[in-house]
Amino acid sequence: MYKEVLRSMDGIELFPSISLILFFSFFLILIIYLIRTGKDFWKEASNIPLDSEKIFNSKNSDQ
Amino acid sequence: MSVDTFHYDNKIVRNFGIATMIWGIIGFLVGLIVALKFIWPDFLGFIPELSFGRLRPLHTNAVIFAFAGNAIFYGVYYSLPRLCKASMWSKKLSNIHFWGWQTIILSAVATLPFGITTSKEYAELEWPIDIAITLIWVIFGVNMIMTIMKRRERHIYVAIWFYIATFVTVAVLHLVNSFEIPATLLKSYPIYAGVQDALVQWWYGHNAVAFFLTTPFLGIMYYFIPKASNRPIFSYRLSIVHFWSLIFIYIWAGPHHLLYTALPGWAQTLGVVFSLMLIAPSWGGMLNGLLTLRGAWDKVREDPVLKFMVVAITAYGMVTFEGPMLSIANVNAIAHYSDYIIGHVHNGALLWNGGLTFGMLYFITPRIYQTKLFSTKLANIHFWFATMGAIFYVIPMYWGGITQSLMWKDFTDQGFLTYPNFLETVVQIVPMYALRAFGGSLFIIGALFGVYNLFKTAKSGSLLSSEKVQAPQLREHFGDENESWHRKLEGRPLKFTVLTVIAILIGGVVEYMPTALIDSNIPTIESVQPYTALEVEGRDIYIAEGCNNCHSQMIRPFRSETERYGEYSKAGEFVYDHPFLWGSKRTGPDLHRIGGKYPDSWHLRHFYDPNSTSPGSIMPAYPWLLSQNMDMKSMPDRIDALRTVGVPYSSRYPEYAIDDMKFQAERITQGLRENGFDVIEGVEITSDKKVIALIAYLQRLGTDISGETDPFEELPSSKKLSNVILEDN
Repeated sequence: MYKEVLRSMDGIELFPSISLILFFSFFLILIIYLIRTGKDFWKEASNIPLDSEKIFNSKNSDQ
Repeated sequence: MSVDTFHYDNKIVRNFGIATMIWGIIGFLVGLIVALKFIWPDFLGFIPELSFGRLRPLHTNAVIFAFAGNAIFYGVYYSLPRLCKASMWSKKLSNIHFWGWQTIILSAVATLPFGITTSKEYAELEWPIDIAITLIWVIFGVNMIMTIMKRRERHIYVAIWFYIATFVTVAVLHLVNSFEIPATLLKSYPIYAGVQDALVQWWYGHNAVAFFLTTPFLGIMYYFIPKASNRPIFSYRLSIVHFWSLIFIYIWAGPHHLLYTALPGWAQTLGVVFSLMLIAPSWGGMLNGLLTLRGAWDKVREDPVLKFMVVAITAYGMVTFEGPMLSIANVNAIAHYSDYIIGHVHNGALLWNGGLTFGMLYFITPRIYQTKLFSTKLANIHFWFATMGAIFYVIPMYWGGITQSLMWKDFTDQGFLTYPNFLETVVQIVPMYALRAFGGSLFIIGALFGVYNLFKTAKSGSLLSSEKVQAPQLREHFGDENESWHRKLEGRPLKFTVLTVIAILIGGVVEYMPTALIDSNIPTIESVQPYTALEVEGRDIYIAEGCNNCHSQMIRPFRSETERYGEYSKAGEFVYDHPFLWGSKRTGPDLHRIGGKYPDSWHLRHFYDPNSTSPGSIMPAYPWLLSQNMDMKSMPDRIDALRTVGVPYSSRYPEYAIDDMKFQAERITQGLRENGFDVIEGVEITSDKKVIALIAYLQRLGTDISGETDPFEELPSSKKLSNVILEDN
């Protein structure tokens, strides 16, 4: 039955390849980007929950 | 710089908190009742509304949608305004959301025990309630997205991404899985059949776990762990990878619930591969949570909030390791259909969802009531009851599940099944069922301590229902051109939402669409025919009584199963099954080849008193099936609905449906009478009773493949119509 199903689908062999390419390219780009931006770049964002009691938001605090 | 003054609505937070606790206790208690039925099958017996098959869906729905659901909203309505530095967009929508959700839960309580169910796990609620869920969910989403749009904090914190993913994915899952055609006011049939229905259901079922019990709670983790430990998340960059990889991969993993079934092999394999990959983002997230606490472990020793959360994250780590392992085919072959899975889900539900929820309740309650926790000591006692309760629940289930599964598969040296009688394998693990009920009781006692503690805390303070805050307006031009792409994305909630939808749809489109939509993927079997009207009624009774909660209808291609049950199940046998009834747990034996295995009288006696045919059985008795009348009146409507979803009855078949029912029922009753079963312990057996329809259905199960008999032969319709099936005139 397994083979019968496979045969009945056009282009089935491409499905796993497409998903693999999509998956790897997106995450590769994401990881390269995150490594390049560095840890300090995200410091502000990661402090948001802790800053929520302060009256300034992270972007306007320098004004 | 202009500074806005606005308010956080703590009243809605409090309301969701109270709902979480009340529904939690109710859901846990229903769980305990069904657990006790494994030890004393007739506990609360003979009351149809309190039978196992009807209460089990109530338990799962109560803990998932009522307890965990309200807990999600509790966390979101507290953290979202604070992370956005804005009040919720519409107080009115918040309130409609709250009361709407509670009404949906009440309607579940008012339908499931009465046998009004679709039978699809975690999607049992019937079509009018499905519509209500859609409306209320959209209201929640609109209120959330608009709050994000009106925020005063430029960056959208990672917790909110998880909330957004929860909203959009649950919406997609709920819509796709609920395509059904109403037959009556409270009965519908799904448009999918058999294999396709199974695939869509488990795409839904698996991702309901992912996007209702995981992503919103991860959002909660990303907010409350830093808050409670007063330090930022260990790695924000890791949280970005965590988010995208988790939502992308999760959606593919559903078919691991259907390994060795009649589902096409390629879909099973894809499901396994993605399930294994899932371990990476899951553990990335778990480590991110745990490592946030580095250098703060002294706090964990003292603070019940952190205690609950640390155990929650640890349990999350265990469960997300176990999940991928359970999806490896040969591990799945042993664990599937057994109590191991019940242990696995309770490890997640009691400790991960329960732990985060109680941690959150202990964190928020003193804050919104401007007071201190009534008793830290009591909270610590609660913590130990919850943890020990979960351990006493989970370990016996693991032990019992594996024991029973190995017994199912055991052969003697001569090549016969060592335990040919299924019942032997059940009796063996009853002590484990007793231990499980003990563990569950501990957990409930702990929860009651928690509720009392939180109630006393609230009494000792006063609710700050509207919390005044100030924050500067967000600058109009925050589009810094030099900003990096993911940063820009985080400032644009709508684009972010669209990308999230794309990420979760890829898995659906590539993996599910082919099987769900193309009929030619299911090889047809010439001799398989639709059910007769009486069998449709029997099948609907099977669904209403929740038989599928304990009995599978899917024989896997293993020698241990074909020896025990007969020929393994083929995809083509289920083409007229709206909905599919493969089941996911074998508390009792598989029923796919039950047709013709026993005489009608055996079934009659078995329903009246299972112990009369199977001494020691833990199946409850169903005496009401012998006294309640079947529903003949709505049969033409039901046949019409089945025609709409694609069952090829003749357009004139509805006219003859009732005649067919009466004729076939009379034939069965006549047979029973001839064998001396006209009366069972004073109850007269007549042809209009539910049990007759159910027997007709069971005797039909799995018999078509032999092609020996025509189910419509001799029925009135076959005399009036040249062909009951496919004759359209």
